Amino acid sequence: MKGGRLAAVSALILLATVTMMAAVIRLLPDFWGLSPAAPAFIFLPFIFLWRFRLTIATGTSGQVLSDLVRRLRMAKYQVSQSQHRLRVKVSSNTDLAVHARDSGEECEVTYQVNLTTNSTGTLVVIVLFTGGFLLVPAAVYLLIKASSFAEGGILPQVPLGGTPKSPEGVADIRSELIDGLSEGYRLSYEAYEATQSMYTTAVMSLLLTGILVWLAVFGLVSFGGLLSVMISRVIDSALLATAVALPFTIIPLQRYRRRWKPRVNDYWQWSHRLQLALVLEVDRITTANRQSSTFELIGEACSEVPKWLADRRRGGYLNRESNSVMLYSVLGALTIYLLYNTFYSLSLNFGFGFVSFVVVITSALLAFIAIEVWLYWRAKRGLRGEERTVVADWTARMLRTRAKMERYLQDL
Amino acid sequence: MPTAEALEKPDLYVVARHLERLWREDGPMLKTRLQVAAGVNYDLFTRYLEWMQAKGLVTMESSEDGHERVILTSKGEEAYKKLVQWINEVIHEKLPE
Repeated sequence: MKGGRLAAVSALILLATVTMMAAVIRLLPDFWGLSPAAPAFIFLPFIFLWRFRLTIATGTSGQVLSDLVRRLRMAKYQVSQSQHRLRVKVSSNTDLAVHARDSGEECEVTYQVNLTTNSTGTLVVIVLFTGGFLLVPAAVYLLIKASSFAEGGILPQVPLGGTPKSPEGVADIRSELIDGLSEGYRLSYEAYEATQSMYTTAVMSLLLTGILVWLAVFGLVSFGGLLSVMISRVIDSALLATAVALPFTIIPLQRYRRRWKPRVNDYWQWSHRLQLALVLEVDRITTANRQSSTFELIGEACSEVPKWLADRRRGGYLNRESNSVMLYSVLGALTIYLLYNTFYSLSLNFGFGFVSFVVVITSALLAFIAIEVWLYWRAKRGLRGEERTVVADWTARMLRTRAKMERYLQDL
Repeated sequence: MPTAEALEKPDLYVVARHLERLWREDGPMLKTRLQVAAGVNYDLFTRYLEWMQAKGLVTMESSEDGHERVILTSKGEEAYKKLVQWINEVIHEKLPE
C-alpha cells in the first residue's frame, strides 16, 4: 500500500480516533453512543479507497497518462504527475487521483477520491459537532462532486482513440512552456495555500492560548479566594486576567503577522503571475509589451521553488510547526483541566490546602510548557535541517542545469 | 549587464528572450521591435544579434522598405526548444515529500 491509499487509510484512522474520542468526551452512556459513526466506517473506505472506472483508452498506461496530463494542463487544471498516477485538483476540499492500468493493447483509466487535509479537517469538525451523524452525507457529497468532475472534466480529455505523436516545432515548444508554467503555478499555489493555512492556524493558536491564560488567571484569582469582596473579585479578576492574557496574544500576533504576511503575499503574487502567463500561453496570446519571456519566468520560478517546497512541507498534515503547537496546546489544556478538576475535588473532600493545590497546578503547567517548548524546538531543528538539504540540493541542480545550457550555447 | 567581453559568454536569459520573441513572431521581425521586446540597449542588442548570427541561430533579411528584419532559423528554434526542455526538467524534478 502506498501513495494515495496510505494517505487515505491514515486519514480514516484519524477520523475513527476522533469519533471515538468525541464519544468518550461526551460521556455517552453506552456503546450505542458510537452508533451514528458506525455506518460511516463501512462506507468511508469504499468512498475513499475504491478506484472507480472512468473509461478504457487505447495505448499503454504511460502514454495515456502523459497525454492526459498535457491535455489537462492545456485545459488549465492543476495537475501533478507521479510514476503511475495523476493528481488533479477539483477544489480546495477535493483531489482526484487518476490511475491507468495496462490491459493488452488498451488500458483501464480509473479515479479515486483523495482525502485532502481540508476535507479531513471538515470531516473531523463534522464528527465533533454531530457525533458522526452527518459523516456519510458529507463523504457522499465529496464523492458526487469528484465523480461529476471526473465525468465532465477529465473524461473528455482522455485520448480514447490512441495517443497522437506530438508534432515537432511550434506546438511542441508551446506544450513544453505550458508544462513548465503549469507545474510552477501548482507549486507556488500549494505553497500559498500551505502558508496561508499555517498563518491562520498560528493566529488561532494564539487566540486559544490567550483564552486559556485568561481563564486560568481568572479562575485562580476569582475562585482561589485571593480577593475577599465578591463584586470586586469578579471585576478585578477579569481585568487582571485580561492584562496577563493580552501580552500572550497581541505581541506574538504582531510577530506572526510580520513573519507570515509578506510570505503569503509573495506566494500569491507568484501564483498569480504564473497563472496569467499560463492563460496567455494556452490562449496563444502574444502581448507586444511582455515584461519578460516565459522561459525567464520559469527560470525565476525555479529559483523560488526551494522556498515553496519548504513551506509546503511545513504546512503538511498535522505534523508541522503551528499545527503541532495547536495540537499540543489542546492536549495540554485538556490534561491540566483534568488535573485541576481532580485536585479541586480532592481539596474539597480531603481538605487539601489552597497552597498545595496551587503548587500542583503550577508544577503541571510548567512541566507542560517545558515539554511543549522542547517538542517545538526539536521539530523546528529537524525542519531547518531538511530545509537546508532541500535548498542545497535544488541550488546545485539549478547551477548544473544553467552551466549545461551555457555550455550548449557556447558549443553551438 | 553584460559587456563586450561578457558576450563571449552571453547571458542565457537575454539569448532566450531574443529566441522566444522570434519564435512567437510568425515570420521575419523588425530589428527595432525585437530590440524593444528584448529590453536591451541598441549597442548590446547589436552585439547579441551578431553573436546569434555567428552561431546560426538567426539570419537577417533586407526588405524593400529599407528596414532590416530578423528571422529565427530552424537551428535557433531547436536551441530554444532545448533550453525550455532543460528548464522544465528542473522544475519537474521531484524532491522527497
